[in-house]
This record gives sequence, C-alpha cells and structure tokens, in this order.
Amino acid sequence: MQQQLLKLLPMLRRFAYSLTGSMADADDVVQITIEKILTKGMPADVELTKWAFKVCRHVWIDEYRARKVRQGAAENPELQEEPSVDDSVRLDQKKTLSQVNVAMQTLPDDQRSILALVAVQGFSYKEVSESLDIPLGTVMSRLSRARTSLLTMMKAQQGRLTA
Amino acid sequence: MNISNEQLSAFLDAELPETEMQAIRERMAQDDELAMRLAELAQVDEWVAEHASQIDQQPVPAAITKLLNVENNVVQLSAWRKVQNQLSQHAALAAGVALCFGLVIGQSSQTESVLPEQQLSASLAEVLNTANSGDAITLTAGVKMTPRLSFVSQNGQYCRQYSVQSQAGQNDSIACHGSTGWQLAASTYSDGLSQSGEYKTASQNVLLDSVIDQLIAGPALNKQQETQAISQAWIVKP
Repeated sequence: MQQQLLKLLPMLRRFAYSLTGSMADADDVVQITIEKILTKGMPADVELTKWAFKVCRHVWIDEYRARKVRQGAAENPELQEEPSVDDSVRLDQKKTLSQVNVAMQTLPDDQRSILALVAVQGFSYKEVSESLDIPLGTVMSRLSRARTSLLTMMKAQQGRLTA
Repeated sequence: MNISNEQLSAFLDAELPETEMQAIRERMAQDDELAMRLAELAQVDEWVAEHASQIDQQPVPAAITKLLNVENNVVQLSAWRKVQNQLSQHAALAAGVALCFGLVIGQSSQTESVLPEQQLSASLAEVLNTANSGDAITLTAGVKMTPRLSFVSQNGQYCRQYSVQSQAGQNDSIACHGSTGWQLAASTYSDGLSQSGEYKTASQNVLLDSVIDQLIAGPALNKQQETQAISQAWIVKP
C-alpha cells in the first residue's frame, strides 16, 4: 500500500495544489489523506487511485478548510513559496501561472475538482464520475463551465494587465 | 448547427459519440472561429496542468515520506506517465489545434503521446546536451547543475542522472532522451546541502539507485562514450 501511495504521490500533490492554491496547504492535505488511507484502509472493491483522490478531495472540503481560515486568492501565496531551484521559468510564465492560481480559487469546489482531475490527472469522465460520485452528465456540464469560466477570468486578468 | 461550449469541451476530451465527434471535426475544418474556441479551451487545460506541476519542484515534506516509510523522497513518475499516456488523444488533439487549428482537425485520432509537463526546461536540457559528467554548470547565481552519470536504458535511450543544487536544497533526477528531447524519469529531493556544501552521493540514495537499476542496460558510459554521445546529440545509433 505504501509503495502504491508513493507512486501516486506526485499526482496527489498536483491535485491538492490545484485545489488549495498553496503548496504548504497542498502538502498538509496530502499528508492527512495518506494518514487516513493508511490508518483506516479502503474498500476492497475500489481502485486505490480513485479512492485516494476521493479521500483527498474530502479532506480538503470537509476537514482541512474547516480548520483553516481560507487564504484570499489575491494573496497569491505560491509567489512567496516559489522554489528557487528552477530558474528557467520566465517572469511572464510566472505571472500567467499566478493568474491561473487566482482564477482556480474562484471556481466552485466541484468545478475545480473536476477540472483538476481531467486536466491534471487525465481522468476520463467515467473515472471522474466514479471518483466523485456524480453523474456523467454533471461531470460534462461542470467541466465545461469550469473551462469557460477560467478562460473568461484569464482573459479579464490579462486584459487588465495589458490595458 | 450551433456547437455549445459543453459539446466543445467534451469534444476536446473525445467524450462525445463518434458521429457527433465527426460532425464537429467537419465543422471545425471550415470554421476558424470554432477552431479558435477549441484552442482556447485546450489552453485552459495546459495552464491548469502547468500550474499544478509547479509543486513538483517543492521538496516532499519529511512527514509524508516518513508516513510512506522511505528514506528519501524519491518520486517515480511511472504512474504519472501512465495516466498521461491515457491522455494521448486529448493531448495530441490539443497540440494539433495549437499548431495548426482549423487545418488538420480531422486527424484527431493520432496517438502520439505529448508530455509537455515532463519535458525538461531548455536550460536544463542544454546542460544535459553539452556537459560531461562531473562538470558543474552555473545556471544562475547560487544554482548549479552537475550531470553525474550517463547510461543507455533498456529501451535503447540515453539517460543521464544529474543534480541541481541551491541554498534551498538538492534535486537529483534522471532524464532520458527520447524523440521529443529530455524527459524526466525520476526525481528526488533533499533539504539543504551538507555542511560543506558538497554533493550527497547517489549511492546514499537507495531508491534513486533502484530506479537506475530498473532502467539501465549494461554498464554506465565512460568519458569517451559520453563525449561521443554528446557529439551525436544523444541519439542512439543502431
């Protein structure tokens, strides 16, 4: 189980970072997620990947956020946490990614989770549906709304910067 | 036929019935505006994936690695790669749109895998392309990169282990050279350098060694073989 979770770790961290918008919060959520899976186990008929994302999202929505005062998206917490190792990321890319962070934080929880599972994890609609316990049609409509909302927000932000 | 955002979004993921997919492809070939809408939606996914991948550069907290019972927080990317491979149709379509939207949309069934998130940055790739193992190359003030070892993988690709050191810590990775350039195969992180600022040898990192063991075919390259590989741009000659 630990080895399997180790393999999933990069995906879980990316997912949690998409949800929280903060690397420190993401690692806290991932840590709680792994603790839960290791201590409480999982149903025998469920695939670990789907179960792990389900628990991760549950931790984020129901537990972690309830304990922590949510940071305003405008603070761009990841800007202070930007790793210094990779110097190759250009300034404009950083700006774009911080705008993505702001935009992601304004999406409703469900839309953000679905967008992260499809765009970041490469889940099919069926896999998202099974992982989040929502109908396939709902996955399709919420994902579409998430993409168009994020695009609108990005255009607005970039328009404001260049105006 | 008006194509809704929902249809277009599902088209991007190849989640529509084939007849509907084909109808949108045909429409796309004649409608630049529709192709542009699709390209923008594909861009959203790229932004979101790129944003999420930033956390890969952040060392995994010790509390998590302790939970998973590993000495070093080696993160093998095989599972991620597997998921990304499942994305191939989506990614290939997105790439096709980005390159030539409106022209060859009908070829959306191409299956070549596109893995932009794992592609090394240009500066790291340049060092791997040109530097011999043991040469420390300064990337920027306080950050240096040193290739450590080169070998041929069982897949017939050249692979290199390298470290990137900064005040924040040390990142040891393995990248392999494929048709699209250097791709990350595994990565480890450790907080801070040793007191003397010296490189922590790879042999201290049992899990990274095990990744090399899984990949390597035959012995590591000697300096002459490595120099030859550099001269042939890391393309394995049959």
